[in-house]
Amino acid sequence: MQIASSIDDFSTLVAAIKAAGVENAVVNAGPLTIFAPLNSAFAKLPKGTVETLLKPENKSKLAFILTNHVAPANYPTKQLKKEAKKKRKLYMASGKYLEVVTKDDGMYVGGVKIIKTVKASNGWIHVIDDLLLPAE
Amino acid sequence: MKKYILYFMSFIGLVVFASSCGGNNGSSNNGGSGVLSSSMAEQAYVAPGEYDDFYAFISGGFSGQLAVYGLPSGRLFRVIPVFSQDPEKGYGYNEETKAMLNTSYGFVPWGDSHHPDISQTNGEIDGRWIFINENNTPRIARISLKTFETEEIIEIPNSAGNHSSSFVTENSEYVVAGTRFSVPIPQKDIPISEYKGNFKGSLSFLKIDQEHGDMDLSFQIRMPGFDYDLSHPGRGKSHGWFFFTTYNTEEASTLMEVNASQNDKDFIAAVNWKKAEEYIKAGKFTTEKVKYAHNKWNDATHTAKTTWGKEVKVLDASTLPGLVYFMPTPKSPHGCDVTPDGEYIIGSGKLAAELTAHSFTKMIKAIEDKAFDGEAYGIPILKYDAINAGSVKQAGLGPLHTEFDGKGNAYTTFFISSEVVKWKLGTWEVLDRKPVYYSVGHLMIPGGNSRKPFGKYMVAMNKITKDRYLPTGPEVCQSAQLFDISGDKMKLILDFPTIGEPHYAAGCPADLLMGKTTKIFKLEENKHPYAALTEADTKVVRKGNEVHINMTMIRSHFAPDNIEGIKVGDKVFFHVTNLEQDYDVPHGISMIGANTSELLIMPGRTETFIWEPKLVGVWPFYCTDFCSALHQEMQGYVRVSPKGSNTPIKYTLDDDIPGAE
Repeated sequence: MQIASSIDDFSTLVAAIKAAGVENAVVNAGPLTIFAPLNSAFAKLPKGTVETLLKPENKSKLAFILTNHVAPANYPTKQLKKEAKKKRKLYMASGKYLEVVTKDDGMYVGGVKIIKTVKASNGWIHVIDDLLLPAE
Repeated sequence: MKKYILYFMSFIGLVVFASSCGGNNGSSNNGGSGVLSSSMAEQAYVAPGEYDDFYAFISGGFSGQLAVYGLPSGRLFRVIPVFSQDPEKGYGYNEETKAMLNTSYGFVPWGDSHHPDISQTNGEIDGRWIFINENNTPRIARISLKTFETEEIIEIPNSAGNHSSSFVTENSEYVVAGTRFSVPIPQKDIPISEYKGNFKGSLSFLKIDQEHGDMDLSFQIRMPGFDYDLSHPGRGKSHGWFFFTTYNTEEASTLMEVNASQNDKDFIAAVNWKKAEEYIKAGKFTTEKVKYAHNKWNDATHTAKTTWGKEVKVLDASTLPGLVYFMPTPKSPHGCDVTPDGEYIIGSGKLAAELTAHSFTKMIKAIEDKAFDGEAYGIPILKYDAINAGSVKQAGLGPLHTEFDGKGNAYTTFFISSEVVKWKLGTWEVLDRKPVYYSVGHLMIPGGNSRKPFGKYMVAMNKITKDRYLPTGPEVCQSAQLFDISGDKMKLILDFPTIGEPHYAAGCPADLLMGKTTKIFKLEENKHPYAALTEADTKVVRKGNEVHINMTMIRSHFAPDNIEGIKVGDKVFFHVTNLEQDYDVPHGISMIGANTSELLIMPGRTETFIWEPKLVGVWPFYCTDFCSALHQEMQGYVRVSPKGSNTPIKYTLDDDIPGAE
């Protein structure tokens, strides 16, 4: 959370975490792996979507989307490669599973490419440029 | 609201009932009513998430440990294992700390911890280390106030009942240990009836290394066969002297409650340790053969090691002039407390109705004037009238210990009349008295044994609680009671149960320690010979029937977590390193069938337990400290094959050798 807050590129994510009331969940002991969408990822959504999601009445919907970006486990890149090789899915805090695939140009999770990886004290942050939206 | 009132009423009932049981009604202006006002409760209340103002280190007596509480809340933060094994923390059970409990009598799993004392610089507590004595198997321990862990334990030879210990001089030059029981030195097979003249006492001076705190048995002073009960250093003007109360100057060995109470006065022994240093320098000592354990923790290897002391330099108080003087003090004095300015030495005759204050200035003059009243075993006895500064009359029954608030007042506990009495230094008048529940021993004011006490709170430590708490069968807790002493009158604001016997305590302001406590152990500084600093470093190595597993733990798995090739009859060493480098992320480990405790391993540290599998099968181990959301998944298996089978050693994590790409 400290890392996310310190970078402007994650300002939408940080605002969303606060709005959804899941702040404590991302600062706890961990280990956590967060797939952190850049502001540009939120910007790709249809116009008005972010504003709608940030409304209090959509708090639970927003929380569900955000927790779909958090895995309650240690997934450094090395481990993700292993998951891909063994065709194992990642269990996300939302209750859903995400697929991991190794492609020529990098690792993909839920069809979204990992741009960069940062170590945090309580786990790992993988930066992505698209949201991991559950099918429903 | 209704419930609150009910609770409130029953609380009043309890207090009234308790004080009527105390038997103090006649001798006290009841302190009980004060605690009921809401402002009192607020004084001890530390809101959730807030910090206490003071640390209190309260010894556990027969628990052998030292407990850390906050004041004014009375909240228990940690029990530091010192002289007793502690399965919760693996202390004395894991291979690294077993050596801490070595003595010349072999491995001793228990101790009787008594008097904690914080290191000092210029007479003020400095928060580097805390020392504590063990009474039964004479030892002194040093605990780091960065890690809150025991770093060193040294055994005291020629001592029995190490009670008048472990008090430090005002620049932590020495930590001092006096023997309670006199014994034949060296030990020999003689009739007990030959006590007189054959039994001796020892006062030991242990030099403290100023950088690391390591203790070194510098010298002992050989004393007549009395009981040396308590002691305190001189400070300021009396720096260079050390004072010890004695009882049993009768030199009795049986039915002591009668036979050691025959003399109207026993002594406070005034020891000139600067003179002792001169005598040592001048070679006026004899060297005696002894054997004592000296156990030291090594922060780099995370392991304790025992070395054996073989001799000690001894100064004979009977033949070396100017080394020791006796100050007559009434009725088997127990407490021996020195005022912050170093002028008064307060002796508490435990059977006396008054307290005795000796003057250091008068003592020096009496020595110069040779105002002696005979001698005992060649040691001059100073004339009582020449040294006495005054006494606190009719203070109470059974005085034990005195502490000071730095504002000219003293506070003395009275065991028999179960109260704390506040009195004024110099005028010796009683200012206030409050009952305690019940039978108080020591009391503690943070910094009370120094030039600079912090006179805000006073903790009274009680031996008996009887009806104070919900009953728990025949064995009930002992307790501490917290008084606000910032005003003219003492105000009882809290009482709280303690571990074991709250024998004595030391306290200091929170900010002396809280900024410098250790948070993690750095992996790059870990020099444990069996540490695995990454998962790739883990291994399983067989050496005959010994198998060494260098294992790691991180949220939320062990590496390796599947191990095969172990056989019945093997001795399996689990050397486990916690790879976490984040504050407050310990892991634990235990193995089914291991005849030892769990390990509780802090980030960056390596610890070892031994498992000797007796049965064929596949046996699980797991993390014992709830570490993460997937704590329950933190587990592994060891396959045990029959003796003589040829199952190869195999160790994996996720079907690969740990750390493999």
